[in-house]
Amino acid sequence: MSDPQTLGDKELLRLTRAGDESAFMVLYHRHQGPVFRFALQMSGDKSLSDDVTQEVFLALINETSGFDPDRGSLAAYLYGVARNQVRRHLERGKLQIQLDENFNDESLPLESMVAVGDPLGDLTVRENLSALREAILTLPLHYREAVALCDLEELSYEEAARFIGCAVGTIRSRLHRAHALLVQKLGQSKETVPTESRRSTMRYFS
Amino acid sequence: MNCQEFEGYLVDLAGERVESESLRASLLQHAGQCSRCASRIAAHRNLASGLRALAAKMAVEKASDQVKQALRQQLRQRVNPTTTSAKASAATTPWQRTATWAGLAASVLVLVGWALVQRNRESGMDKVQVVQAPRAATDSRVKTAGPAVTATQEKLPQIVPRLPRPVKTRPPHLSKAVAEQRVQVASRESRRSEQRLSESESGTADRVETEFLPFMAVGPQFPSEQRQFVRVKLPRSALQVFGLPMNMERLREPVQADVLLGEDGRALAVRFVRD
Repeated sequence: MSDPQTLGDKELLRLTRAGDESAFMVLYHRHQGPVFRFALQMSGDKSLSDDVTQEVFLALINETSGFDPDRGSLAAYLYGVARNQVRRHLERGKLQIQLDENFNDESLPLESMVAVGDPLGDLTVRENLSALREAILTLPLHYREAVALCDLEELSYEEAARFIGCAVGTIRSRLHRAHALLVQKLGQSKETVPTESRRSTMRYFS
Repeated sequence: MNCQEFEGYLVDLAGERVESESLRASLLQHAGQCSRCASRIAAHRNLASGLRALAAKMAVEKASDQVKQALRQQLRQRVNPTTTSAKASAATTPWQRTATWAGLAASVLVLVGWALVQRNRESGMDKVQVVQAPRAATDSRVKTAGPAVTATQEKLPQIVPRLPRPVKTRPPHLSKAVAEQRVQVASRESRRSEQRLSESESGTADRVETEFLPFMAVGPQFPSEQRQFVRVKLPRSALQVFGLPMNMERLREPVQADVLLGEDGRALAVRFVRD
């Protein structure tokens, strides 16, 4: 039998549904990171992201997903399921976002990311990263999706549009609008609200 | 290029997504000439830098090991459906686990409630509520742990089994031998008391009483010992336990009975009384 690591998603999925645990593990390790991060970027909640990741792969295992390998990539499909799961959780209106107190920015190469002549200040300063993270979470969902996919997962416009199921121009427009909102939010917050006080802020959003 | 055209490429330029070198050069040229657009591109570049830093930071994020374990167990259970339900529960999401536990708790509560009801029904015979002495020949008073009861001594009634009339039902909680004995006595009593009790239920008789009906584990002939009986009130459903007719319209009204006690306080038999 060939090494599962060398197999494509379609074959791994076939083996998984036949009960091959090693094939599933390869599939899981290949895709769990993006799925989990997408949920985390959308929700800001690790526990919820764990739940979403589990539900996405459970659907895959139980064949309740209706995934057809001939109609699209597994990655796009998983993003789609994760997107629906996250939206379902968020739309319950019960999610309470709390920034992770243990969010550790120590490993960031700060100096290398400092922009020159920056009117907003250095966003890569570690305390400001939390502010940026918080600002992203306040964006409307469709803007947040665009930022999560194009900026944080660094997908192309075409890939993001395929995952979300919209036109490339729509993604581009949403990303443009999202960036404008983020600049606006961060500019305002820098003038009015101390960053440290926001770190532990909890709030509800729908 | 004017500011409006520049605006359309602002995000792409800040994020280094402009592939055309000529377009990029044109955009940068405009930013060099327009201070407003230069300020904007600077702000967006800084935002893009922050987003890249955040992406780098979050790139190491992954689902917890519990998710992997739960999925692995789910896969194993799917392959082998005989896997224990405990393993299956580990593969569910937290809200599903909560729902499962809530269901289990509800089931336990229902079972406990049912057990309590059964216990109350079975111990209903022990609920001594009446202190009225049924006979004038009261010569002793017995104190019990429960409410005060009045006990009397009198000549032991003899219960002689007679040919039974076939009865279709029997109390479900009795042993077979006792149930047969109960059926024999109850059948006889039914036949003889049916009329009297129905008269009593309808209020046409002044005083009606059945013969003594033995309890479980007590033979039809009681041992020779000093005996006492106490007047109690029992749920009307006790009539059915002994195979006697019951007026369903008066289900909530208790019935009076005399319980025959042995020297050790054990209940030997009961007779139903209506004054």
